[in-house]
Amino acid sequence: MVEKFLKHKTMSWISRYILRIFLHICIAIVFALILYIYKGSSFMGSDGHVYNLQNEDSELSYSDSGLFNEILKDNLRKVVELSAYQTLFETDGAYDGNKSIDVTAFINRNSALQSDYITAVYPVSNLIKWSQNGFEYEDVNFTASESKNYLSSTTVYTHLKKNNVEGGMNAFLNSQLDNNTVRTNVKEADKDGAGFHTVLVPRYKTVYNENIEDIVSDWDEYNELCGNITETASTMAACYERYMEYADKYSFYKTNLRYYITRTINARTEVFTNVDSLKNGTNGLNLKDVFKSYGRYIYYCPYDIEYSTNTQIDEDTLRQILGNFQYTYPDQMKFYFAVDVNKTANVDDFKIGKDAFNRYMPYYRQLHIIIVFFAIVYLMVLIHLAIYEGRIEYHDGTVGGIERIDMIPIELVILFTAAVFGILFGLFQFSVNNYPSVSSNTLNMAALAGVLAFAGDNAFAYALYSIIRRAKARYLYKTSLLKYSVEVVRKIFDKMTLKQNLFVRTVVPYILSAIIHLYLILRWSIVGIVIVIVADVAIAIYIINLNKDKFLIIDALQRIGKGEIDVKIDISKLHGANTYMGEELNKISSSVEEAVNRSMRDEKLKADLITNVSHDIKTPLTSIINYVDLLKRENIDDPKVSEYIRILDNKSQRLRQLTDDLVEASKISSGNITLNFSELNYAEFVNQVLGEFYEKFDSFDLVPILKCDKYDVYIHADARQLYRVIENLLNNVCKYALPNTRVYMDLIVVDLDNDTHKAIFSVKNISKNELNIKADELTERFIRGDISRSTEGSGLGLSIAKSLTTAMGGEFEIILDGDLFKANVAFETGKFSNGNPASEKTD
Amino acid sequence: MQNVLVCDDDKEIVEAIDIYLKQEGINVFKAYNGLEALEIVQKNEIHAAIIDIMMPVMDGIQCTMKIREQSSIPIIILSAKSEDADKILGLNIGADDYVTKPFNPLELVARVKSNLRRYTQLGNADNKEGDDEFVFQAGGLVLNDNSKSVTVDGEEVKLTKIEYNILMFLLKNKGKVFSINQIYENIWNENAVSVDNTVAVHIRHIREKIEIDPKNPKYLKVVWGVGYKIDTED
Repeated sequence: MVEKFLKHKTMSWISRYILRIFLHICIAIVFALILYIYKGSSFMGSDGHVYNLQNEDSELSYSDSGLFNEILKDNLRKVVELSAYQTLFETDGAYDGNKSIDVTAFINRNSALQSDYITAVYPVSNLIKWSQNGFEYEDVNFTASESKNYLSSTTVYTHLKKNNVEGGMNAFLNSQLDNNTVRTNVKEADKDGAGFHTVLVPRYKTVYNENIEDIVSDWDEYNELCGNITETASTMAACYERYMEYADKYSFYKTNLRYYITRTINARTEVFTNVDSLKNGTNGLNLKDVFKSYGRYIYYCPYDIEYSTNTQIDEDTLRQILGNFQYTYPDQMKFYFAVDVNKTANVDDFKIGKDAFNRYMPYYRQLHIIIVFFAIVYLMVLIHLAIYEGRIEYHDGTVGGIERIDMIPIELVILFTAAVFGILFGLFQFSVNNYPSVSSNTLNMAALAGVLAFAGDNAFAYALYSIIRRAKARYLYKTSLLKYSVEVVRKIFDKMTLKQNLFVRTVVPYILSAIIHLYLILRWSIVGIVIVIVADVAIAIYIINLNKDKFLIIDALQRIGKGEIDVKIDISKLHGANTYMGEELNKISSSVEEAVNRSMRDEKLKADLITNVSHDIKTPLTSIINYVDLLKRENIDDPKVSEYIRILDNKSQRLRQLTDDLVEASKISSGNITLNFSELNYAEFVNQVLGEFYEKFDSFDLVPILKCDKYDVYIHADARQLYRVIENLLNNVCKYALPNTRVYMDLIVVDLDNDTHKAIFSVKNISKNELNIKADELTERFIRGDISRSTEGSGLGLSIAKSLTTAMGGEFEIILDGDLFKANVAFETGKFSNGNPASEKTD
Repeated sequence: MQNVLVCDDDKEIVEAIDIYLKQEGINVFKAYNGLEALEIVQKNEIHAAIIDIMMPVMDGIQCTMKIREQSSIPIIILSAKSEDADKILGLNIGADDYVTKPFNPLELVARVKSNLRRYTQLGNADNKEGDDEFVFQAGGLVLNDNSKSVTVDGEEVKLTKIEYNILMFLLKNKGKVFSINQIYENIWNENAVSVDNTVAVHIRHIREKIEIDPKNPKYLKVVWGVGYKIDTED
């Protein structure tokens, strides 16, 4: 099935179109869902804290989830803080502005306090107001007496009657105890307080109706107390703001978190709670049970080391949370916390969390499966399309490789795609930042992401498939800017090396190179030498390449010289100016090839012309021959007429021979014959031919003498054509040999070097006419000894014989020596037996 | 009386052939293109045809093919085209013989007569003599060792004793190629002492006696550089 699938090699443009859209839809779904999960799996709490829904919560109910516990932990932290502020600002569960604050005790709330110390006590509301309005200072120049008058003569020391530091108690809590303070005035040694001093402009007086300068007697004490006052006031103001915020936030009707915290000091119990119904008394109630009934609860009593809960908040965690405000939480505390999970009517973090949890958690797994599914589908379709890309069948029936857009340089395409991605991403950011309807609504945001992913994938697919098409058609590099720039650089370089004069080409680079060498070595020593070596190696490689090119070019030139016609150099392999040399060489080769082809074409045309003309001549010639023959049969008495008829007969036969030879010669010289090579026995062959000519020799009064040096001399030739060669040769002998002479014919085998042997058939005779021409002219077409022009024959015989022999790979040679005519027809022989069979057999 | 169709667009050639054939007592039908030739073949009892290739209206090749569709008469193609390829084409499409222009009129007449004999007389002679172990035959060439006679297409040929022996030896081994030495050893019954052309000369003489055109032998063929053999295309 897979094979069948693969065999269907092309894909129609319409299915590609549909698959592409499907592809974009897949990625749009994936992106939309990823964003939905990203956005839906987190939410922002009321104070800006971002909560994430965790994978491991997927099987749990909300109140068991990590999310719930995280929210609880954050809220506990705030409630504990609130409770600490309540310690500062409340009396009996309500804000008490007149609550006294001992500033020095407060500053030292986390450390040990001296038993007698200088302090000022203010109503808390005054401190807050003072800080809110700002502290004013004056720089005053005091004389010694002014200073003495300004400051009190005695220092007021405060002493805590009970300053218990056990069980987590501290200075501040001790100072808050009722009737725990004793004030004493102490007279100290006078000090000279003259000079500039910074004075805190008094805005409020202490609860004892004193100013600061009334409490202290020297400037050091004054400055320290002022510091304590301003620091406490600032802290109070800051705490007050948070107190107001949290008190509101954690009021009974605004939160689902319930707390009830008691602190017992000196048998007096303070209660901090947001459960209004419990403020008035808890008689008859088991607080633990009450809080358990809310759903999720925590009970902690440090004194009894009792901790119980049905949440995931453990004692350590709670202790850490309490640790931030340790000064308000001594051991004698009881903490009750609970979350009313059944009636989460109040809109707080728990409620928001619950909504987000219910909206998202049940679909958690499904969403992930869908994302993975579509991502896999996307990949499969992407690969499938990639396989078929470049084999698309279009509606006009063409199967497409490269499309028009593939001509755009690939770098531009990639750049364009990257730009589209950037724009789309920017669009997304812009929308999220500027349109609350997008940023706050998970579904809108997911939809936007989907649409943008769809658009982005269009650009991605465009670039990817263009790259794939180019890669398949081997166009990737061809269409790139890289190639273009490489070519430009190369061309400039080639031009530079070619077009300059000799001085610029050789001396200038040499001097430049020497200077650069020196400079680099002197400037950077070791580093310079390394650079120089690297550069020199590169130059050496370049020079080696140049020389390699030269060998290539020389080789090509030699081949052209030897007569090869199809010699081409691959110019892309050449370097520098050699490319121009290569180009010129290719041009020469082309023109040689063209010339050869043209001459071959001309020769063939000529052969065809001769063949056609001879056909046309033959028809009338037939009539002439036939009617001459008929004339001969008539009884003609007149001897003159008989003589004329004889001449006509003679000449018409010669004309016939001439046309045949003409066609033959032109065909052979134009290479227009087919040769059927076979192994044949040269000796047997020569004997057979001589058998054919026996009578003819006789009729010309010639005595043929044939000597075969060896029998079984096998040569490789076309028997029919070879017959014509020998036939022409022997015809020639008959025509021109002196009558009553012997014609010597020999077949010998000559041993050449390297195991190659040559079988030579030679014919020797005495010419009856003077041989007044050169030997090689005899084989030129239409050349004969002058005298023989008027005799039988066309003069083409030897020419045909030579051409045929050469065509068969043999050698044809004519030697003239006085009246001796000698012709050699030689072929290479691979196989021959020594001696003739008779001598072999008699042995 | 035998009827021969002569078809050539050159009227003089037709006339000349007419004269030669009439001298042999053969009746001639003349046609000047392929279509005329076809009509004549359809309307008359024709025993052989001589057809030119290059003719107007319908050329000789087409004409030959058309005639072959309805008749098995001998067809001799007479053409100025002398290439091997032309000859092979002509013989392949159904011609029995191929004579090139300019032709020897006597040779043409001999070929016509030979073909006529083959067609009219020897059609069923093969079986009768083929059974006899002393009668050897290759196409129209028959050697009867009983009567020591040799006939070619029914005409008796006179051979010398050695020629007769060589021919019989080759006919007995029809299709096989024998070198000069092999033939020598078989006929003279002695070892070939030296290579010479005695056998070749004899063979040439036989060829001149039994072949119409000794240069293009039909029966006794020269395998150049190898030897000789008796073979027929049929």
